[in-house]
Amino acid sequence: MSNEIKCKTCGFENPHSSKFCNNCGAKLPLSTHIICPNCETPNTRDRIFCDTCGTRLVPDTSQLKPEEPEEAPPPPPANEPFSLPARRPGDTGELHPHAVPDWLRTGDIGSTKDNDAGESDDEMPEKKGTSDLPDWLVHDSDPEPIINAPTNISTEFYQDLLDKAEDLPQPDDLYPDDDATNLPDWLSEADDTQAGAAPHADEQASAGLTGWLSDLRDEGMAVDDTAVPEEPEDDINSGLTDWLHELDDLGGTPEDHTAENAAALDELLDDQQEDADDSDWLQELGPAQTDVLPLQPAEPDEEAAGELPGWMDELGPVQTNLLDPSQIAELTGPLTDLPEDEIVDDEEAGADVSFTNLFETATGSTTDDLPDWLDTAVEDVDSFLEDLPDDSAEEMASDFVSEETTDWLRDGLTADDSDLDWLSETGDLDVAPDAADEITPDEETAVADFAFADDVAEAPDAVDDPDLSEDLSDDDDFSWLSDMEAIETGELVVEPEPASDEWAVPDETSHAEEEFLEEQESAEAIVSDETEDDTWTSDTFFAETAVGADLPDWLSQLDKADKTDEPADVGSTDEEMPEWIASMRPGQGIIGSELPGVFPEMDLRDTLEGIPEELAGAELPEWLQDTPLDQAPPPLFAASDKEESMEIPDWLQPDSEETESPAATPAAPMEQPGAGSSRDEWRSLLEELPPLTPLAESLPKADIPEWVQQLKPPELTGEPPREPDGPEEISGPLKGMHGIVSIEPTIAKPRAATLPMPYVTTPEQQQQVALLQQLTQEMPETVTTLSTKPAYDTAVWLRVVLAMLLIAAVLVGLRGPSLVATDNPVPANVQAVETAVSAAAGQPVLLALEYTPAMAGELSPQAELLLAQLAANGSPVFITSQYAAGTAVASNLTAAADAHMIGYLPGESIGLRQLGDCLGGRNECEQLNGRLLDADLQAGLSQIGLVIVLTGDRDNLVNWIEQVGSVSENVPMVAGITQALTPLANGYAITGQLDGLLGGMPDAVAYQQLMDLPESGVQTQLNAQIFGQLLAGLLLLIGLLTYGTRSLASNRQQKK
Amino acid sequence: MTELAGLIIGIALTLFIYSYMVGDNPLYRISVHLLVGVSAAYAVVVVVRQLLLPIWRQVQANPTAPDSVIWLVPVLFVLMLLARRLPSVSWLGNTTLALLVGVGAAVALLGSLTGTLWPQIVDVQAPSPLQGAIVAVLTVCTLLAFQFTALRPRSSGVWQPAMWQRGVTAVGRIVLTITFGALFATLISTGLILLAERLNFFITELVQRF
Repeated sequence: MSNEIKCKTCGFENPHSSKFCNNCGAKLPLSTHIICPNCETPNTRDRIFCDTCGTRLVPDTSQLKPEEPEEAPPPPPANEPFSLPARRPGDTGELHPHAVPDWLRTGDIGSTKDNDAGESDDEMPEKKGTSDLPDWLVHDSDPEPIINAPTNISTEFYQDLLDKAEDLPQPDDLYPDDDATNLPDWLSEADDTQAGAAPHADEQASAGLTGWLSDLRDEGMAVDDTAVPEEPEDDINSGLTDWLHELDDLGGTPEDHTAENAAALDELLDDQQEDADDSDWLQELGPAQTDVLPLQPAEPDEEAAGELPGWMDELGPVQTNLLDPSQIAELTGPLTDLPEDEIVDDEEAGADVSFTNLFETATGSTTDDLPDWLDTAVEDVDSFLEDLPDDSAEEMASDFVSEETTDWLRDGLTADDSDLDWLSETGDLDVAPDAADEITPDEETAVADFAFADDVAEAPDAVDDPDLSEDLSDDDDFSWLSDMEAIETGELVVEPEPASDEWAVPDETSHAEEEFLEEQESAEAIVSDETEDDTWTSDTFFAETAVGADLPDWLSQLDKADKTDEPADVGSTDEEMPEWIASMRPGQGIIGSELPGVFPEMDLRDTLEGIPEELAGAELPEWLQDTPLDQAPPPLFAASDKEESMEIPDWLQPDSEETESPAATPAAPMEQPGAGSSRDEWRSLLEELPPLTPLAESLPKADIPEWVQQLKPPELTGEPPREPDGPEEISGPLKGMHGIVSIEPTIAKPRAATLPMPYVTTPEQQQQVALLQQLTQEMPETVTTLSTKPAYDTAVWLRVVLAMLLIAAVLVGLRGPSLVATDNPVPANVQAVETAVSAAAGQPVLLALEYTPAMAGELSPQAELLLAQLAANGSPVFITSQYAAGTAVASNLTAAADAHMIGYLPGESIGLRQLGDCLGGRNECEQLNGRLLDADLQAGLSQIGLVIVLTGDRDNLVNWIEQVGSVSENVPMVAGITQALTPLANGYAITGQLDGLLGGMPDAVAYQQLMDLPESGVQTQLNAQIFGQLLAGLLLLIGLLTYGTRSLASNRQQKK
Repeated sequence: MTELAGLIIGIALTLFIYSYMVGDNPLYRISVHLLVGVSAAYAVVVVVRQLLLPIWRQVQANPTAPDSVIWLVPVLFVLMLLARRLPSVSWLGNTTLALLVGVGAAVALLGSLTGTLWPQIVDVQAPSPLQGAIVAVLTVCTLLAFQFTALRPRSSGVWQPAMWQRGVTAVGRIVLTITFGALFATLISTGLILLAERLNFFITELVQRF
């Protein structure tokens, strides 16, 4: 399995955590692996558990189901994964313009980033879209803003965050002038716990914690140690909220979720907050996002704790509710029993704020000893009161404590609600009701602080209500809420007296529970004067809130408490609820209640208040579009509850006229103009929009091509439908259709099988095939040797016998009786020869002896007869031959005659052609075939009167006739040939091309008899020939009869 | 004596040639090789003596004469023809061969047209029209006998010529058989004459000498 992502552009293999190619910069596809959060092994996406270590890779949805609190420890609040709205920074199309912070609306973050030297668009173009975001909202390695990331975030993304944890925005980054001491003590404690500090680390950590936070920590630790002892990691993540625990269990790390939570909270706060100029809220949200980092170095620094800057200044009093020694002496309750050294430890922790100071701040007596955040709060309150109308100024002043409009508290509440770390921790407290029994001496201090806080928050009304105290006796979790409420409301100045001496036993859980009830009562008493008409109960809260089942036990117990109350006590129960908790109910919820991670199914119609319906849902995220806009949105806050409206910050005040009572809401005069102007602005914009024209009317009508027109069905064109082709189908699924091609006849039609044409081969072809196979396939065993054994094999003896018979016949003819007739008529051709020779008497005669000595036995007698006749006629003879051996024959024949030797005549037809041009006086040939001719030859050739050709070769005779006879037509030509060539020469003799012809020995004998020449052995040879021919004829007849009879016999046998 | 030795050698070689009647034998091959060798050698001697030497004498006698200089052309052709034995320059002999074949073919074609074909067509003097018609028909039949194309009727599926074609072919084959028989007979006659002449020569010479 490859851990690298291959770039589709350049093919470069990048690490699995890369989003852009390290080679070409192209955007890489999402990794197909899920990185195990435990062993960092890349796993395929189809895996649920890690291949290497078995760690679960995907969240287990079954764990999100609520369980019975009695059977098992309550699960953490449902923390469903949420997707932040994909809204670009500065895009306020769905929001009220004034509800967006300046830096988001204008994109100018100079107020927050002016100090970031070196950060410019030119230098970092990839972060173009994130320039208007705070650093801690922008991931260093990702140019996209984190608020857009959740839709595509994978485990690799979180892994990447882990790998670059150092680059993540830290509190130090937000406040560069601070160091690690900016972290709250409880966060430091979380870090210490995770790091496995020494046993005495708890004491050191407790020294830096406020009382109630120390209690929370101890309780949490106790719960973790007792209820879930097998999961030590709970201690490590004690600083995390429960839902962050769950996220952590899902494979991510707290660091990974930090940015996501921050972005979610940021988004929601943008929707709600109208005070856009108040950019401090983002800074104040910083701790909310960073306090979940367990790895933050949180070494307690006394010097730094003495002057806590920024948000820590504002959260500091809550967490370091320490008292000066003088005030400690005045304290009652559990602190009175605390050892003095522990109290001194708190003092040594650098706390400079006491509840007395808080009280004094609330009453406006003195602010000299207050820290900056309280000074700011006092100033804000004063300015706020001054801005209020006169009729509401008194109410505000009287209920100042409940306004909780100080920035630190409001933001702190928002931040806590968003992160819910401390809230979740409190939720974990109830899972270990017996943990108080096991509180160690080291934890006594924290418990004391916790009880002290409850004691301080105790209200007289609550004390007087024993029923409620009894019902809520088990809810010790709300004691810290009492602390919180007491701090906020300044009820500490009331400083209730200890209810009993049981405060001296701080380790008893029942005390804490009872005191919590009392605290609830006291807290409700503060706001109960104006909330009698509020019929909202916890039942309603849980019913309206779909996540009620997922709430922690401490909220579930509220539900239980409501259920156990009598109907008459409903109102009292409602009054007993802390107002800030009561404000979490839907429809009257506060910001924190709308956090998607905590209450994902909240009614978000409130966020759409003031947005025109035409625009609502146009670009809304899916999770927002579920909210129907056609209904009148319920009031953001209960209009009838004047006091609650007073308690809600200004920026949360509803801007709807229908849902708001101007008289009941002091902040209405300030909010109405802005809301009304916004709506009017939207309406004016809508009215200015041009009327919507249907798309079909606005587009020009297109011309339909002709070929498309032809395809228009006849129903539209009005033309009569064409007659369907083919017969109509009368059955089957195609019934009624025409032109169906019948397949049955094609398949079932019988046809006559045609036999292949026989191929007949002849024996010769078979022999050729056998020879071809022999040549191609090399079959030596079937080699056919045609020459070794002929088709007919004559015995040697037979052939020898035949040869002897033939020789005998010849000898008989030579020496035997003469069978040659002497009175036969002279043939015409012989007579023509005598005529031609006689006609050429006295003229040169060209004699061509075209034969070799092999043919001399037949042609030489003719040559001798003709030479004798020519000599008798006085014709000079010019002898030539195209045979080299012919010249030798000529030499023998003309030894005694007057003959002129032209000699050898090469070139066959070409030589004869040149010779023919020299005959008959046509040309004076000085040379013949390159040889110079003497004068006699030139004169003799030009005067040639007869050409006599003696040859036994057909081609030679034809060449003489064609090349010489046809050219020298006036020169007669006579041929003396062999008897075998006589049939061929007769054709030329018939046509007159040959003036005379002597064919063989018979014509020679006839010419001798015609010329009455002396016997030269010609008749003897002819007689021998006759005997030989007779014998040959006889043998041929015998052979014909023999083989003929045999063949007939064999054929008859074959036929039979 | 010389004539007697020549007569004996002649008789012996003649018998060697006739020994072929009993089959191929060394005596026959020796006599054939001697005949071919002597004939080739005699031809070379004749060519050199009667063709090359006279031309050489002419050129040597007057080398600058046009008749002598023009012999450089055939000499060049001869050298080019000899170059065919060398594969690298064998293409040089193609010109000489082309010249020989081209000129020879042209001459032969012209002679055939003017010496055989046209006279045989024009100057035929048939004794009677019937005889001429018979000659013409037999000639046509003989020519059609060399037609080897055939049809394959579907009924039989056997490749066979048409009926009329088979009749014409049969007539042509008969004519050819008669012609070849006559030629073969004349060859036998020629052979018998040659045998008789040889036998007569031997007998005569032997009788005269002994």
